[in-house]
Amino acid sequence: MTKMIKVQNLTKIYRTPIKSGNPLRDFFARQYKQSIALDNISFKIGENELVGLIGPNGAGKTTTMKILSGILYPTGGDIKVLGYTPSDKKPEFLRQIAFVMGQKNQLVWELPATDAFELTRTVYGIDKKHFRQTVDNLCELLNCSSFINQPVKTLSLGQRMRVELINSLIHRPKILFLDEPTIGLDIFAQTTIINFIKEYQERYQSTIILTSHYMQDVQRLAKRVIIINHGRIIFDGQLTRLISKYSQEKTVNIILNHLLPEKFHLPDDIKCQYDFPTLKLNVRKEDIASILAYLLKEIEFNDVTIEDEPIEEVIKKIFTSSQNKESRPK
Amino acid sequence: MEKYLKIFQITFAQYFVYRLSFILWRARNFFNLIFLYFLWTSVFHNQKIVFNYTIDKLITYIILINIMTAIVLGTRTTDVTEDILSGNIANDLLKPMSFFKVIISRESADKIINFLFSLVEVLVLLTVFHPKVFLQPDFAAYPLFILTLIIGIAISFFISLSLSFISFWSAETWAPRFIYMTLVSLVAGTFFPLDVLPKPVYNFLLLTPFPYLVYFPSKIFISGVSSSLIWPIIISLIWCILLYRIMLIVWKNGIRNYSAYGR
Repeated sequence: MTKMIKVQNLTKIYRTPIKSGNPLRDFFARQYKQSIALDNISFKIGENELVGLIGPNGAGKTTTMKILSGILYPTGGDIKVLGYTPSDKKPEFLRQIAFVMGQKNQLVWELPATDAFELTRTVYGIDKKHFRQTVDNLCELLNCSSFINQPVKTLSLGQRMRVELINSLIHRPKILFLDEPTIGLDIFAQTTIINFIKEYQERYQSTIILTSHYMQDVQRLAKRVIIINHGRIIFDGQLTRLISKYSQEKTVNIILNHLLPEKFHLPDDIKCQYDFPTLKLNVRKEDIASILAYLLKEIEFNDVTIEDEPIEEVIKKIFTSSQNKESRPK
Repeated sequence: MEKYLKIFQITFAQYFVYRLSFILWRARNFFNLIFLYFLWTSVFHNQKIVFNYTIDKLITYIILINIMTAIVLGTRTTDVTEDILSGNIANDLLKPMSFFKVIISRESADKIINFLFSLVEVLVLLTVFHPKVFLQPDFAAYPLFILTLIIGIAISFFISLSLSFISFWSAETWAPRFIYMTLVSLVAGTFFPLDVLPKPVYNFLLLTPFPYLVYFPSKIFISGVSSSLIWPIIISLIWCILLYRIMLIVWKNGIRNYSAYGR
């Protein structure tokens, strides 16, 4: 598999002014604080991969994407995207990438989306026939033919996000950066966007890097996740491996027919919530079989479900464990 | 090339969306023109020559200034400040286009619209008040007029863009721009021809870039070609090159320093 993105020892330090409270001193001898946004991170991403970048606010996700797309200069490290150094901003490089931001607007606010599409067409030098085809295709996939002729400022957030996506994909980028594409959207719009991304990637075989605070988005789209916290990568691998590594428990939900009998007794290390008629148990994976056997023998119930721990819980666990390791001085 | 034409076209279209604010901006310029017209006609009320100017030359000067202000000082480079602070500049940086060519395309659209409107305003003034105007009879002055006009546009563009690039470091770009605008209104010759000032002051001003914005081309239009123009032209060219270099340096350092907050 060809490597589309190679990042080696990437470091980014922001310099931010600190207010001392003394205006004169702030003016003439301003003090600066160095804050490390990315601390020596390395990873590789191959062709046709869809990678989810996860981390709390301020972890360095967006900074990583901005450096990979060339908007920001790295403080240190070696970055190659499609064989180019992104910050050189070579037109041949920029022609092959796209960056969609859920919180920012890239279209011309006052004019209809079609005008922005036309501008995009000329910027990337796409011939008219190809352009028509791509726009029609994308409009159909995202179901937005009815409003692309309206000024962008009159569109709802969900509609705007859809035309925003079309506008970024007209030149069929090899690498697509999606920064919070579903932020602020309702569940329907969110599903539309997520389904679209999935379908688009299957159809056009592009490499996609996605950040989102909605774990369902990441879970539905990405096989591989990179988890960042405090500017460091704390996990990089398959999502399934993440769950098997960090999620040692399953939740067993039981709907009881009768109150629990007196003699019913579970091992002490099993967390148990009981509120008739529901009984909820957190059971270690290796104990599931024996616990179930015991339950079948001892009680009557009309429903039982066994669930994986929610992914949010798993991620939270990882963050807390990395936080504890982090307590050593930098 | 097509992409820059398209940007030019879209900038044009944007003006017609915000008709009101544009018309008000032009109204301000028009009132300015009318005000100066009345001011100077009353100054000439009972004298034929004021500060070596006849009334037709002075009226021609203020008419020229109205047009020159539209072309030279009318600018969209102020928008760059907001683009940098909001992070929207990333939209331009992410596309395979030259940032400066994008700015120049927008700038051209802006200048053309402003120029057309200022022409209409001047025509209104001419038809309503029938002032006597002066047309330079020496045709050698015209190419020189165009040359100095281009230098003026370039100087104004480089200064204004450099001022906008300050936002790569700080959100406080308003103060430096305010100082610049104040200087422009005082010593660029937007209210009176600068050679009415005492000689030492005038000679000193010629060493700064301000007279070359609107005063100097207008002066050539009115006074024609003479050997005294050589030094000012050389100085304006030096400023032009110097300000261009400064703008590039500010840009290159700014873009490295940029942290694109708010994204």
